[in-house]
Amino acid sequence: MTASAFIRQRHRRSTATGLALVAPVIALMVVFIYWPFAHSVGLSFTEGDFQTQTFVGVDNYIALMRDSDFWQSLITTAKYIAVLVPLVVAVPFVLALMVLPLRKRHTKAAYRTILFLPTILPFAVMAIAWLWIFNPLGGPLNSLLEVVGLEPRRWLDSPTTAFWCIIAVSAWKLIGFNTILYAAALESVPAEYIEAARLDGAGRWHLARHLYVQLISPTILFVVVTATIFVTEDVFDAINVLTAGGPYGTTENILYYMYEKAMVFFEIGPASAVATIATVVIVAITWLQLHMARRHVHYD
Amino acid sequence: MFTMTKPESSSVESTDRRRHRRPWLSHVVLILCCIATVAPLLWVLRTAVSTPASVFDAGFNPFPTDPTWQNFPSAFSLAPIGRWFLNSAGIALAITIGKLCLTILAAYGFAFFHFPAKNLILSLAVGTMIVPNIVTLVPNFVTIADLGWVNTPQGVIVPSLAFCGFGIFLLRQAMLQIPAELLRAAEVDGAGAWTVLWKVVLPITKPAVAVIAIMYFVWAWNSYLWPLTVLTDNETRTLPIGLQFMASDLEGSQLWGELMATTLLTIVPPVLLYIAAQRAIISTFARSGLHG
Repeated sequence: MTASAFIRQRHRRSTATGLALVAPVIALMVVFIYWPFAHSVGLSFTEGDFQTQTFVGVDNYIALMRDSDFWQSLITTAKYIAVLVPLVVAVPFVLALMVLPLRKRHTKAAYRTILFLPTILPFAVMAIAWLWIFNPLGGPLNSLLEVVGLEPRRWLDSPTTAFWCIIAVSAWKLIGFNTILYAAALESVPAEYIEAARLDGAGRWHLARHLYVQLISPTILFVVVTATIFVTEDVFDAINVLTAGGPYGTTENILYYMYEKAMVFFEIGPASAVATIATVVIVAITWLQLHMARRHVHYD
Repeated sequence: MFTMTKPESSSVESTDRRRHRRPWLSHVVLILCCIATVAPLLWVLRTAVSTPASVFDAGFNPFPTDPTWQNFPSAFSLAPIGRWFLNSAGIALAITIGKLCLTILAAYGFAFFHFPAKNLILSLAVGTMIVPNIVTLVPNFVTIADLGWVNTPQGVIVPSLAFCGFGIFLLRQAMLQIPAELLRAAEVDGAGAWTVLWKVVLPITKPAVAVIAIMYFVWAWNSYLWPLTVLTDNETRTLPIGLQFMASDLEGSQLWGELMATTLLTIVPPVLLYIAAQRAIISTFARSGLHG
């Protein structure tokens, strides 16, 4: 008998206790996570500072539509998604396929331990380490290039390279974590499936493309969704430390744009309008991913 | 070409799907990835123990030419690092303890009690994991400002306590695995809900509680956007926030030795916790991605 069968027997007298147990955290979640949804939409129709706001209707939305910086941050966010998501979905898959057949458990564990490391390091703080790596004067990257005989560059000051620096730092953060997720999923694939496919004459590539992708499709979907959320949200830390959105706004994502509006210019109404639009876009993208996945993802 | 199978292998051998055709190639690629992963850390370490001159003159050399500790006292004299460290530790501990209590109570309630709309409330609780930061930032700052909590530790701590979705999800799963016989035995002995939690449930789920506590601490220690927003006064800042302002102040003077020494201090607590519990942490996360 399991715990769930146990609770069915004793539920008559536990209603009040159960509610009392979950009430504190639910209250906090309502106040600091769910209520802000409504609050944010409300604030987006106002003008003012943190203390007082006056109602201005849809003015903030109209102003945003005319703001080229807003559009640029949306386009930059789309570029982040277009470049980073495929990168951190595909590369870890290949790496996981390499980890999978390793025979020595200790070797496997060693790779796993190292690859997971960026997940637990403070991203904003490691961005300061990257600031040094990209430093034009004596930074490790330029020193390395000099040794190889290439020209040093001002990586974070150039509109052509700054975007790719943010991509590189984000890839550094995500690739190892996703590799471990994939490796765990691949290990859970029953050996008989692989065997059956092999007896049918499936080659290595065929196996990887059809069988593995299909069998671990829930994990791939999970990685796609979390990577998309990462580039709209968490990449903020790297942007704020490395480029502050520059040069010329080429690295500014939607969250950074909103943060500047709210915390630098104290434009609460417009910032809330950005948040509302961004939430609709994020939810729409996630919904689209889940919807498209329905045809391709197989849970068993 | 990466590979993990050997299609032409005999039927006896082929039961071993973990067979490499060219294992060395996989190792080369994986080792390169590991080097890329730890390279920033090595450079933090190398720069933190380099003299100002050798920070720049060493060319591309991952090892310090003449190691020194002088960057650490020098960094402490440039900024209130000790103060920031204490702020970080206090805030991270308060968040960890608060969230852990809330998580244990809620997971216990969801796992073993019946109440109206339980499934809906559970999905609301777990659903908080995917609510975008972008929505909560400004409204929560307005709330904190109303309470007069800007620049205070409680301004950082209290809103952070709400983010328990991940822990509740994990701990409820662990609690549901407890054999009912144990719970019934406790009931027969006349134990109340509180005693069952302390004497039966918590001792059994200790490993899950430990991983959740460690992850809560690491997240709180590493957190950036919310403390950056709430703590505007230099004395109240946490270490990651203070360090970032220190970096923008010092970038012009190129004091990378001091900056990397402080960076090193900041990453030590999460790295130590990781070393202590890495197997449990990795397997927890690996399982969390299995079923989307």
